[in-house]
Amino acid sequence: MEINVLHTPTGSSVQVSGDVDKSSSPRLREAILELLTERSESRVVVNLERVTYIDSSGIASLVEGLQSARKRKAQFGLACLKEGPRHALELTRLLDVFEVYATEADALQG
Amino acid sequence: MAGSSSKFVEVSIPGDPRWLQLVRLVVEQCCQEFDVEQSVMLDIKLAVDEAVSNVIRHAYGGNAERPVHIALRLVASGVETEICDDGSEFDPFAQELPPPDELRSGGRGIFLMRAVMDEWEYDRVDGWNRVRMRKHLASRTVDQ
Repeated sequence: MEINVLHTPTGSSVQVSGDVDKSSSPRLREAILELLTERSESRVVVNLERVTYIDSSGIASLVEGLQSARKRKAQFGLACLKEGPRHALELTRLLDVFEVYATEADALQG
Repeated sequence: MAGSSSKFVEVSIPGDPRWLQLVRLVVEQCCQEFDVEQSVMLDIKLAVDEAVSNVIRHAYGGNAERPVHIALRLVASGVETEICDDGSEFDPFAQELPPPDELRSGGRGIFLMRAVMDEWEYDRVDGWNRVRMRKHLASRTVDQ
């Protein structure tokens, strides 16, 4: 898994690529929480366009991001969901819990 | 591998999450050999990955030196998977499932295993945990 963080005037996007599993998800969690807690971003987006696989630990990282954002009254959204991540979120009945956007640009505008 | 007809694959890995990617690759290759369609392969891959993650976390408690044995078989009704370890006794299917939509961060791995597979069972044999899960294939019938 690789992570790149894009900063814009309206918020930051965590651009993820590859497999998010028990081995790699702690880095995703850390990247999301750093933006919310240390940089106090008002809007954080996780761009999942290039994610090929996500397991329950990856989903847990997204849930922690959402919880942290709500606590800080920040916006938290997911962008560019492909079949695998969408299916995993549907199975865990969490798809409707997140704000989901078709594009990263839409997500950063809210 | 063209022309071969392997109906049984077994692999052992150390109980370390860094090996999960290899497990997923083995499942993908196996399902290709078994002529399993893509959406079904994704379900089996997710279930096996979560089962092995459970072993690493719960049965072995982070001890990366211990082995996890994974087997996939093409059986009469579909694909059977088996995950074995000699760690602490841990029955994943006896664990409480999170209520739907509850916003807690963990505990969804076992829920996912049950959601994507058709049958699952756990037993403890001679100090070994054994988790078996089956995914039915519409293309196969019981008399094959």
